[in-house]
Amino acid sequence: MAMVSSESTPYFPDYGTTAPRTHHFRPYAENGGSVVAIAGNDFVVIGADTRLSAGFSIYTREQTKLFPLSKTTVLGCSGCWCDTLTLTRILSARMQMYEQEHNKIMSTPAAAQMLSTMLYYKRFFPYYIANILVGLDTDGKGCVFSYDPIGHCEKSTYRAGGSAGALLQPLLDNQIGLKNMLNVKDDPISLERALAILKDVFISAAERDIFTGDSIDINIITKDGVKKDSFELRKD
Amino acid sequence: MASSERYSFSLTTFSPSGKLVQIEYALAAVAAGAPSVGIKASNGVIIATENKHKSILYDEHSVHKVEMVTQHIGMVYSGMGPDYRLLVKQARKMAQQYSLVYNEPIPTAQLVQRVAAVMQEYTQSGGVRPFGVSLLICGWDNGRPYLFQCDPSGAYFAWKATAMGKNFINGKTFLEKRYSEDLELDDAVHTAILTLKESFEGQMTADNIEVGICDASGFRRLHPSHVKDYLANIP
Amino acid sequence: MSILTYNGSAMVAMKGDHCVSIATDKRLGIQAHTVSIDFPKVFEMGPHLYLGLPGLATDIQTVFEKLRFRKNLFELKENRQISPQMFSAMVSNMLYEKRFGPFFVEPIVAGLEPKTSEPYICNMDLIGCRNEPEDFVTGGSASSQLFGMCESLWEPNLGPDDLFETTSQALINAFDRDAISGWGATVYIIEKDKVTVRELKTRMD
Repeated sequence: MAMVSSESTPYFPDYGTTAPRTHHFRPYAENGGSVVAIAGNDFVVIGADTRLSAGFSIYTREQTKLFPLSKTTVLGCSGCWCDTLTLTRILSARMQMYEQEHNKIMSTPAAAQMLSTMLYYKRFFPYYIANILVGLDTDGKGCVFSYDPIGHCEKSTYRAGGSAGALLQPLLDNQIGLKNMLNVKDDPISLERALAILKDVFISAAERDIFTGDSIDINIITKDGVKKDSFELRKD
Repeated sequence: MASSERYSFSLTTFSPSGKLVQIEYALAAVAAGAPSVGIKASNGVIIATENKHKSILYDEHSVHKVEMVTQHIGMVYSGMGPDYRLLVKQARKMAQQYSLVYNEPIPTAQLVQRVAAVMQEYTQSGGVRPFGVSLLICGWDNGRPYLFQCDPSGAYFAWKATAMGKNFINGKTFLEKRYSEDLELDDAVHTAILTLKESFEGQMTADNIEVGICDASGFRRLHPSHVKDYLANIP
Repeated sequence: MSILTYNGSAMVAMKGDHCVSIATDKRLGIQAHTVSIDFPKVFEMGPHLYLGLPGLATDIQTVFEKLRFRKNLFELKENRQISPQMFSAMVSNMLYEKRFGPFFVEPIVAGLEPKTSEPYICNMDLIGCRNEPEDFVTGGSASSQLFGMCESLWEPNLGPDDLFETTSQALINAFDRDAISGWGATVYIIEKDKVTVRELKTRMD
């Protein structure tokens, strides 16, 4: 039986259906992880924690987030893990294609530029990744490139990214950038100090960020190649 | 306006001579009530009262006159029992309210002030009468004992030792003679029982007096068997 | 965007050896637009008691006034100074009274206990859930940056001078990485016999 309610829309109880509902497609996951990179005059170090998680659950405690692209170039990724896998697979293919086409290995600045282009290519359906690309430039000097998800690229000498990026970046500003410090000599940073700071900041990050922890993978890149190291963090 | 409000004037009104006779009657009710005593010692404070029953059929240790308010505060009264229980309820509530807000036990002086404010309110509000009780509130905070008396008017006093209720004048005179500053708790209990005994009619037993003790470990009411031990030392 | 970060703020308090510090930025903004660079967010509530209110500016002022009222009433009623512990209980209690329509502030209490001179720090969320840690507390829109700084710089038993340096460095470097806080800082070092207030000049961008 049709009835007319006091409101303007008629009410037909016999023909009632639930209201139409929109279903959202959420193609992104936040899998956490932090990456820190520090460049020196003739080296660059990059560290990434090895925890892969989603919300309150940990998928694995031993997932490296560092991807070697060449003998002198390493990419650190954190964010949406499936995007990371896809991006790094395409990247290594592009590295190989470059090598075969040009008969030489791509330089770090070139790889940095290519990554920016590849990210911007997906401007309206981005890879949800905080990328930090490190390596030695053509003069053998350490360099760090950091990106936003849609390809903005910035060259610097140190960078923290990922879930604990906000916690760590001001610390690097202070300890490596020597910001807000008076009467300090701006000497180039040594490898030992870079490694010590790297470990310290990850210990701090693991203390307060639940998406960072377990251990860190460290890659030390010098003209002799990539040396690997690791360091244990708290696991809770 | 509700008609009840129009007639709810205070019953406590000044007499031409400037007295509030209602309060004097309330004090008379107190002076006719069972005696109670409070004494401060160097390491605590005690309160004691007579709890005599009209018939042997009463179950003595079920309804108490000495009551705990918080961990570290207790009280007793002379006067009308039902009025007292309302004040105990209010005092307990105020103590909990305080620790809810400040996360700290209420200082005895604060509790006394607030209970006294309630008693004063009942001398000035409409549709009520003053309380027919005087309270003895004892407590321990800041590392020292406190003893207060609270009257129906809302006046309160800090005592080293005092007596209220029937024969309170004799009780006070007795305490004036016996009191000394360096009394210990055990002596204080002894003195309190002696003071009660001054005006006690009939045989004093562990079943017809009540004693409460407050010291650094808090407030507690003495068990009758414990009271019996003290009575054994009374001549 | 959260209403707690509408005006922007950065605040930190640390425990030291027989001393505590509390430090704040001085900016007041309406989102990215800076309105004032001398906006007080830390208030003296007693000789050894300071209250920091990071959050929504209007609630900062209202909550401060309400707490000053309650504290003054307490001190007159009880004829004694309020202790930091009791004061923070009072703040917490007041905030929970507005459980379902809260003030948008996350208070920090820092001070010394009156008799023992024990350092005391505490922070709470906007509905009064208290946290009393042994090291430091942070608050405001730069709180995650502050966590990173404090977690590395803080160490136990810092003397007043070291505590000042640590607190200042933690605060300044943290808010330099937060767009909506900064523009100068004030640092209070609270000791038994004196309180030192220092105004810091920082980068103004």
